[in-house]
Amino acid sequence: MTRSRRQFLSVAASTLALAGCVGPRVAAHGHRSSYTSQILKPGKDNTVFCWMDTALQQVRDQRVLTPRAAYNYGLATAAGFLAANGIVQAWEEPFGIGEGPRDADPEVAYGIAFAKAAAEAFQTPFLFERMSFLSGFPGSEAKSLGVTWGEAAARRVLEMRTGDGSEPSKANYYLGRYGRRTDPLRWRPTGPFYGASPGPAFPSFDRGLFPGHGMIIPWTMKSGEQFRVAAFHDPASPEFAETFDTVRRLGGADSTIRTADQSEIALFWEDGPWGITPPGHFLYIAMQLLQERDLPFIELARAFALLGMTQCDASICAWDNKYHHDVLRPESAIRARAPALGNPDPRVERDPGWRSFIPTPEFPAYTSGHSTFGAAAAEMLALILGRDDIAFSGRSPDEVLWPQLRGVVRHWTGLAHMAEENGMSRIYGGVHWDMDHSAAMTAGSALARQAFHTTFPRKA
Amino acid sequence: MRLRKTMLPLLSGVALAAPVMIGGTALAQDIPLSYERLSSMEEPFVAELGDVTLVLNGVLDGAFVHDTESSTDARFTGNVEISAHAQLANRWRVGAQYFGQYSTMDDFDGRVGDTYSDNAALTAGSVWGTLAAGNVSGVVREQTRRLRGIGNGALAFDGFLGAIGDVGAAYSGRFGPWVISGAIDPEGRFDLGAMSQRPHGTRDLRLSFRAISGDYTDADGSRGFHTAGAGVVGELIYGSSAFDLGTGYERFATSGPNAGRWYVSAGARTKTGMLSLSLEGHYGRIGDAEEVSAALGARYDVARGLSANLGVNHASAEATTGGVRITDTEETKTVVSMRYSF
Repeated sequence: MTRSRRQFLSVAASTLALAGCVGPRVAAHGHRSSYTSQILKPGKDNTVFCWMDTALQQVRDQRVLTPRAAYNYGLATAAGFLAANGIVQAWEEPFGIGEGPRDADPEVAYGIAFAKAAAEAFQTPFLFERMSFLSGFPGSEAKSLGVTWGEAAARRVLEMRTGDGSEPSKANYYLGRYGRRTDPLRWRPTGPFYGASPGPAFPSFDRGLFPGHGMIIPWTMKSGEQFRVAAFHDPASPEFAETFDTVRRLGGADSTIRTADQSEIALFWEDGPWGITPPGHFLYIAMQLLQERDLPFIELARAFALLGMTQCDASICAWDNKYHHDVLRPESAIRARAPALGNPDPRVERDPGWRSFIPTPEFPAYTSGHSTFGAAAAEMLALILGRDDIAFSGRSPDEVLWPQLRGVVRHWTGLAHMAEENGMSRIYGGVHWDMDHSAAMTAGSALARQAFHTTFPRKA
Repeated sequence: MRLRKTMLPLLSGVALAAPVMIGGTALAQDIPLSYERLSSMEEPFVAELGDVTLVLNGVLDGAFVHDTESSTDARFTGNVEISAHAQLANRWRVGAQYFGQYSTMDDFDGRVGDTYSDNAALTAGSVWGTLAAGNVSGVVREQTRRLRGIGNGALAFDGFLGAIGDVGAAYSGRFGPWVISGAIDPEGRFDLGAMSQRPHGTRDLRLSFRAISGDYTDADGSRGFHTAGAGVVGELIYGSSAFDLGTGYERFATSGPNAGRWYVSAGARTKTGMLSLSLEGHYGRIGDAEEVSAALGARYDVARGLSANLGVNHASAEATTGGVRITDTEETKTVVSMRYSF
């Protein structure tokens, strides 16, 4: 049979027109689907926040999972800063991206490089976002040079990151990268046994998520193993009995000792399984706080590059620890494996009906990704801001998974308080052991300190 | 009656699954202990050869099918998907996929007796989207359809009856919040779609559009129609429940009789613990004739990869125009199965 060109074009046009009515680009600042609309005060929007918002929305709209989201944030923020810094030449950088033309517009270069790197990370061209961004700059030689240099700098960053281990890490298989434990602490897939309602539906007994993620080449760490933490408790030890009992009583769906505030904390920091994810939540908080400082453009770009890169490295550090130590979740221990743990403490007993308060993620427990992300972000923000004791308030950026959070505003006395509350949320929720949190806090803080002091020092 | 074949959801990356012994012990054991043993059997089915990641997925499904107008039959279905993916030095992603399915009896898609069918495709993608060639006619349908029924629930007539040829080329790419897709076959039949999903407040909304210019063969297999259709699907997710509604119009044309068809399909699904449920209904008309279907689906996740599934599916339609039987279906089937996927 033959098809007329007219018929094809009319159907194609009608389909694309319907799509176009809703908008082919991410929501602009001011739209209710934009994250900067939730937190930026009037007049505070700028190039860095605009592109951060774009990345956050893509993570949400594509349902990018936490470790990949951290990787994507790191790639895009690093490329943007390196392009702008190549023109401004204000900071040393260890990647050898080189110098851009001094007459180029660094903000244009930032946006173009961010978009190009983010395009690779999210596999979408950001065509309309780029057009909208560039329309905000009047035509000039500086703009043209900025576009050209932004493209070139992003290409160098992408060449450097091609083959960094991120592509094969997408497969949810061990592929021999990490050995499995053979003792009773060995992690295993968990079920959908949680109590908070309404809450999201997700597959039961999924494979471990991204076992290769800890093998990705980091941005600021010497290797993914640099901040590998000490061995987990002996399952027969009094320390393990204590943590077992704490999580069983505090983190259970039907806990009688968890306070209403602790329950709210558990949901507030859940940030998953989709939405902007924990690293995105901390970048969102960083935008909220850094808008008050009115940093020069290049310093703001550097701040978000450091934050993005350390969130990526926090994901690598946490995933390396998770699959190296291969420790089971409280759900598996409490519901099924307690008798096999060999702990003489009578509190280490099996409770087949136990459910955690929030969903147990589909990867090993030790260490906590949440705590690593939170500690790294809090430490980095404190170093950028020059102080930790900044009292502030915040709401959940994504209320769709936990409608109970609508209207909830939490208050923190400082960045360390925020990070501690974030990490403890996983124990209140019954998905982590105490030691998952404490060890991750130490590692997260250490990697952020190292990144701040060594990655982009000011030029002499 | 001709219904759409089960297509390989190539660009969506959804994997169906294949063999490995289940063993009766999985069911006999205490539930929280069985999945650990099953999951350990999956690792041998993936490998890395240089920069290429090879993955093998599969499903084994043993079912009892009861048709209200015939006896109860046993059915075995096994399928396997082999895929190879790599990122090139220029960051393009290339891949190859093969999907084969073996079934021992009549299934709801109309196959009879022992059958083996397969699909294969090659893909190449960059930030501008993914191009695929091969058995890719299901790409747009998979991206824009209402949610599938849970377990063995399958709603008949949901979507267009017309289809493009199995073999062709397809494209899928993301622009902002939208995923745009298209497929075309060598005869010029084409399928276009657009889908967007994002939260609005405490609810997650998905909206999709689809337009097709395809072919359809009547219930007797003797008369071919050209078809043209357009449809829209809306989906709302709240907590662990999802509700969706789809509607569309399709025109059947030949040198002889013509007919118009419209339909509305709706469904709800929810998951609580290891139990998932879906309930769907469909009403449509072809000319003056009604088409009605309903489906109830359930799945209980027993262990890693292992599930018990139920489907009760009813379909009724008999539409004739100008002496041509466009549809002729009257059946109610209950399908109970145990399924292992990896």
